[in-house]
Amino acid sequence: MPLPITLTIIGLSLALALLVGFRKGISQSREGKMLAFVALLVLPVVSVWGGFEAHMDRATSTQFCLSCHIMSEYGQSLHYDDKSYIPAAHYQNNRVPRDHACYTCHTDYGMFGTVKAKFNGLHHIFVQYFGTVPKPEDIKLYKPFPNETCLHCHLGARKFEEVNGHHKTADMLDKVKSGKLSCISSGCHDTIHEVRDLKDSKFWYDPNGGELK
Amino acid sequence: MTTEDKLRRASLIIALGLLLQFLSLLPLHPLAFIAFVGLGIPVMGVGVIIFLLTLLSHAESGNK
Repeated sequence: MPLPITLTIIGLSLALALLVGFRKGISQSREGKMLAFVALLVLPVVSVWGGFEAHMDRATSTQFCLSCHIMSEYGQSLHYDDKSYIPAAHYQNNRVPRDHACYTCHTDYGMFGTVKAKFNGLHHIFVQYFGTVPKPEDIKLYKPFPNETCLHCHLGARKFEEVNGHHKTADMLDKVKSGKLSCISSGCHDTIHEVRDLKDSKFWYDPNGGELK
Repeated sequence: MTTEDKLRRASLIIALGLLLQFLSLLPLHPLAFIAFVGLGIPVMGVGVIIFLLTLLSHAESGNK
């Protein structure tokens, strides 16, 4: 449900609840009772559903992830003017949707990937306000980056299947596909966010705009 | 307290919960989600429960 519609429903629900709350005797008539039922039960339930969905949807946006100060350097790392940085190359070449860049690569594509990501997010909020916040360069993934995330898009692509680098040994591609050889931590595509490099790097920003700066 | 008063009280609590939900959708920040889940939904839920209990007690008194 688009956010404006959700806000309209919640606003309407709020107005009707206030009407029932402040207008004396409104629930005396049959129509008033029906109005109270809709205003105090049906619309609030719809509002919660719509609001929750809107929050969940917004939480997948790059802007949402970067709204925490600690993530700002990771956002900046998407602008390295150097294609050897994997996240920057993906972001700048639209290999991932720019407005959902973090979510696209950092959520498992399994059945409960989104739910797990949300629980991790709650943990991040807890650490932010009640724990010891690490330096951006000390942030680590919960587990090694899974090949499945890369393969979700690259599997079957001609360049991925045929590029010489994936055939250095006869069984290399099979190992990658089965997850026995990590795309990132095996040393082949291991230049990622590298926020320590930010100080001495050049950056690229889309001259057409339409992205975070 | 009359049924009417209970109903009005429930509606005002629900309105407060809805207002919190509405406000939580304006900023794009993780704390907005926490406000939605931790404040908006529980406050509204309390109002809905009071509303339903009011309906039940009204129906019971009507049967007697």
